[in-house]
Amino acid sequence: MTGGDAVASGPAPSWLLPLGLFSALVPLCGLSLLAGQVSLDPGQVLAGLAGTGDEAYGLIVWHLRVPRTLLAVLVGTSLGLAGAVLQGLLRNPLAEPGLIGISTTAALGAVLVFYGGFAAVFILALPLGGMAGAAVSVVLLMGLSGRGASTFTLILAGVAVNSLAGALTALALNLSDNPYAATEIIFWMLGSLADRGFDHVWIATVFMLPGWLLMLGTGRAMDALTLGEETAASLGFNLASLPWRSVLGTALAVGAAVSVSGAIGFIGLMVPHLLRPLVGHQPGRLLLASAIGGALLLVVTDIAVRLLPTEVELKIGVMTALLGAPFFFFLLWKMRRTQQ
Amino acid sequence: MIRLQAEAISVAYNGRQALAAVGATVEDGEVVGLVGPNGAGKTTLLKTCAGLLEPERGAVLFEDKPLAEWRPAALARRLAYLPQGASYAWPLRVRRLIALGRLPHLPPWRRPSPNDEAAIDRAMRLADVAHLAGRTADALSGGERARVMLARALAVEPRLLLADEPVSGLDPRHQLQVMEVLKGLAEGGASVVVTLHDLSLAARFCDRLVLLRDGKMMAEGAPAEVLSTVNLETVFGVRAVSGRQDGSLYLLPWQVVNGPEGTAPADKM
Repeated sequence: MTGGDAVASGPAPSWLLPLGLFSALVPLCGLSLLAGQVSLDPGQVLAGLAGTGDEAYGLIVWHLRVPRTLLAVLVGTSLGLAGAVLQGLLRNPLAEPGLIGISTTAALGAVLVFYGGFAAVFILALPLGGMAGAAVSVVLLMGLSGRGASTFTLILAGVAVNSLAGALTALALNLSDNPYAATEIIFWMLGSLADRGFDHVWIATVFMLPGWLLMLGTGRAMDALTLGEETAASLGFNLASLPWRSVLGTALAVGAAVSVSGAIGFIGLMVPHLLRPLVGHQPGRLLLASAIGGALLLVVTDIAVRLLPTEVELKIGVMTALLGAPFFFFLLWKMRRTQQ
Repeated sequence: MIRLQAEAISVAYNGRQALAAVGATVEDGEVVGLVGPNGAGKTTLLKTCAGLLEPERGAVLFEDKPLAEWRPAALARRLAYLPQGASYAWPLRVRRLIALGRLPHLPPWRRPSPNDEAAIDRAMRLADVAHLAGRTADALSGGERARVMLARALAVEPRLLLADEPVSGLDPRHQLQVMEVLKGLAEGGASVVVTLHDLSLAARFCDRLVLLRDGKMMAEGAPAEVLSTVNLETVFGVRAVSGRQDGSLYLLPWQVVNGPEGTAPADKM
């Protein structure tokens, strides 16, 4: 079905996990339509969807909740898949778009475009800025740490890229003639799915889809890469093109995701790690599962931020960081233990 | 038929001349051993023959066609490369790891066929790892891992196997078993090129040997000629105790001698 089911020879068929995740995702998306400031019951949501009920229901459902849910799915898919691809490419379980600075650099790209005034001229400028930022960071990371780099080098390179991009983003917003700079910084750095519309959905989809296809197509090469670069090359895989396909796919998907939702972290770290044992640690099979798993986790988190009784709605990126950072500690601790 | 022909290959590696005008041919059904001290260029020669290193000068012909003219996928179905050390990035189950050897045979988006599964089973039996099928790679001993990686290469069902130190780290029984597998592969019509440090195994299981030192070919031919007393002293810097058993030569390196240049061979991994 995808490049992910490469060498599935085992008891569990490779489509089972993606299918299971998908069948959990669908009802959760339904739940997501029910969550919000205005409490609507399922009948009212359905009426709103069908356009048969109160006009206000229709407005809330179609203008607020459907785009928000769709974006959670799109962004989650992109982040989960990008995490799995980067981990496979760099053969490192800590590679994640947020953690190693790709999302932050994408945010920088989007911010520069936004406050450079290009976004008003040309609707696709924003995602293009995000993607350019993401691409620059992946290339920078590969240059700084090299493929097959140690965890240590990768994280260090990521920290460097991350802090530089973060500082430059804050600088750009500070210098811009913008009374809401602080709020904007929070949006880009922490990410949010609130108050997005269908135009965001379309723009994101246009760029994410080819990015997803590129990334899903790397499955077999990722499997082969398990054996090291030379063996993978001897198995007929083009290891010169693989990094670039991965970079382009990541840049398209993560860049587009960040340009509509800001930098939401840790999805790409947690999802592949949780699913990896379920696919027998096979990097190719992990791709599709992580894509759907990412959507699942982000939809759930987005429901949670809306249901939590906080005065102001939590930014979704705060929530993913609260979940993800302890998870990151746990991963580091586990890796240290196995390395001793 | 000539399976592989390396013609006057020169390779520079990190600014060092790793191979200088080395040539070799491998015929069908032959096991050719590459021997020589550390840093002689054995691995470099093997990698060049696998198409993983581009020679500066010279060419490698596989089945009468230059390696560069082969489509990578077509070459990967016929030629398998088994690197030294056998590392893996993720702890896959053993059978899955071995199944990676079938990747060149799988059409895009297709699952392994019964034919592929049979090839995997055969490879596992040959490398004596069938009982490890369900274990994960991180739960293997060094020797088990080496044999799993051999099975991975055998699963390709190659016409030419290039194996770098496939017996290093194995116990005596498995060393003999692996060499017998390589011999069996050749008897089935395939060709094998193998780098070895154990000169007795080289003498007994290889049809021909290529002796390298400092990137130069010192000798080539039947094991007994290549592993002559003179060559052992000048190339390896050792004197060996030797004898014959079941018609084949065995050698036990016994003492260090200084070569004609008065130096022990350069030590480099």
